Amino acid sequence: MNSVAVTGWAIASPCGSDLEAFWRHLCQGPVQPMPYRSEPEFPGFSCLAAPLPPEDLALDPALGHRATTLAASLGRRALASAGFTEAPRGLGLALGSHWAEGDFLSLPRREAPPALLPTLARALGVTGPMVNTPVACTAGNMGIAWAVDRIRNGEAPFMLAGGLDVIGPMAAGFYEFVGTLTESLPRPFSEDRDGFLLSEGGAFFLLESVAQAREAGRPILAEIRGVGFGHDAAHPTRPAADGRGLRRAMEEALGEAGLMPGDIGYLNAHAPGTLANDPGEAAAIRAVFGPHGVPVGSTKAAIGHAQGGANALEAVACILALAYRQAPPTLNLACPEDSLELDLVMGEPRPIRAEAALSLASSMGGAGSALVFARGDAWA
Amino acid sequence: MGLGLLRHAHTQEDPGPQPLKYASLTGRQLYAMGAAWPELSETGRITGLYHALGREKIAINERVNDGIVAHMGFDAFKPAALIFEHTPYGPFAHLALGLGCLGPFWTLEGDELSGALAFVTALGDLARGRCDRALVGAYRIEPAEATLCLLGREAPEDLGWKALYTHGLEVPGPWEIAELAIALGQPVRLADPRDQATDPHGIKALIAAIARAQEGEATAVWSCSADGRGLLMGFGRRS
Repeated sequence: MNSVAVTGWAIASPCGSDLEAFWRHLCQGPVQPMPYRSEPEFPGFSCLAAPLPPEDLALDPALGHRATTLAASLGRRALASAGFTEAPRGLGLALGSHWAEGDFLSLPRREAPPALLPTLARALGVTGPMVNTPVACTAGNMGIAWAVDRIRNGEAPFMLAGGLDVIGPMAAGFYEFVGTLTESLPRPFSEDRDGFLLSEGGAFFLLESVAQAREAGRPILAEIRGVGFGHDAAHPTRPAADGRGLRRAMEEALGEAGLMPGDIGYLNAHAPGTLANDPGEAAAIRAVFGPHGVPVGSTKAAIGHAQGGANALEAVACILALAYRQAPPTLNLACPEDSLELDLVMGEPRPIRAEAALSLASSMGGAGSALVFARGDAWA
Repeated sequence: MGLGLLRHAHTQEDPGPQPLKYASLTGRQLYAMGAAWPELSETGRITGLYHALGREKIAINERVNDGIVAHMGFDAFKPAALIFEHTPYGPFAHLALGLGCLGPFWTLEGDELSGALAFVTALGDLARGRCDRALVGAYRIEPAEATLCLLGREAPEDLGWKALYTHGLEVPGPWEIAELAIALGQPVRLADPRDQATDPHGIKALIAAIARAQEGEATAVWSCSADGRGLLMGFGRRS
């Protein structure tokens, strides 16, 4: 059986760590950008960003870096949400973090923090398979997919999986340099979109087999039914015009899930708000679902682009959309680009009846990934 | 015919100019190796990429950060060069674009286990039909060297394999080897401990083990980290 159960979760987002508040922000109100400056690294540099709330920014000196501190916190909270006070035997970890501990390199130069994986293994009690998948903006999906396969193969009874990143001067400077940051608000699918809002945070999930979850009586928040991958092999910084990588990823994920395109009630697009992304992604979605063939939204309009954490937060959005039977709207969408020929969810959440959702992600360079979620039995 | 190792190569040499833009030495090394394999120029095949990333990630980030700081910003770089030359997965992006690899694109960071993790992922993807071919590789920057191998379904023999994750084990014992032998259906020999100084990702030892397995000698490779994470991989010929 291909399905893997999600039985625990935890988030950290610019609108906090409460899931209901997170859903409200997705549907009703975006986070407000604030200036980010990276003195002394780049004097005079500033951009807009959506950071985590101060209470979630605390650094545990023993862990050495904010990203590691955040990962440990998310892991513990995800385990606790499933009823575990300590790590279950054989627990593995698949993290999708692109920058991770790398921003220690900012000025003033500090000693390298403790190594990422050993630190997290110790902090969370991980004794099973462990990996980080730093594939830029598709890191989270890759981490979750890797964890799914470990469960499917019987290589681990439990996997913590997810993604996260924090804002740092190297990340901010890089995105500003390649011209992908908005100067106001992120407006995915809009004719006047000008870039994404840099944010931070992420989410962790506890994964296990469906049979094990049911035998233990743990409510299943969602089932991950299919994963898929593809690559454009087209250009180092721009997506392929035909979206071939994302198309392949979606078709593969649907195939693994045993679902048809018509079974998907909500598609969470990658759509960070850049000018370059939307045509190729829309072409891929049309190729699989047909023009206006599936309700599509981008939650990056609401919470920004959390880099390695984005996919994991979008997975939460998909799970909540299925739970509440509502597709969240794409915020800030005053003038949608009609040539994309997408059925965009706008204004208000839209009721959905389908039992499955799809989350799409792509990274600079052309790597693409897709996850298919089914509604879990936790939602009566 | 079955799933197995088709090609492998290793280099410390500079292959000279390649038909790539903004290629680092590593990018040129990897591309030169892959481009020499005729299987990768066949049309209609889906190739996945499996990059084993170790501690060199920090050194790469240090290098680009030093350049940024020295130039008081990113102005000394070009965007595409930043991707190809200064991100850890950049050299493998060259493979994707240069060789038309349309399948999964993995970067698997796992310290000393990264090579084994890359093979576990690649063999799993091949078994699931996510790709027809898999390029598995790793590189170092000091010294500058790269290793690359091609897995596919045209090997003379079908490869069986088994991955066993451990924790707190100093060396695999009889129980672990027996578990592999049962899974593979044949006696398994544990390879000599690999030289971590020259093979930090374990890629070379794993390639050698697969080659021996394809010749009929089931072989296991032990990868472990200082904090107790371990991955024992066994390979054997399917009967």
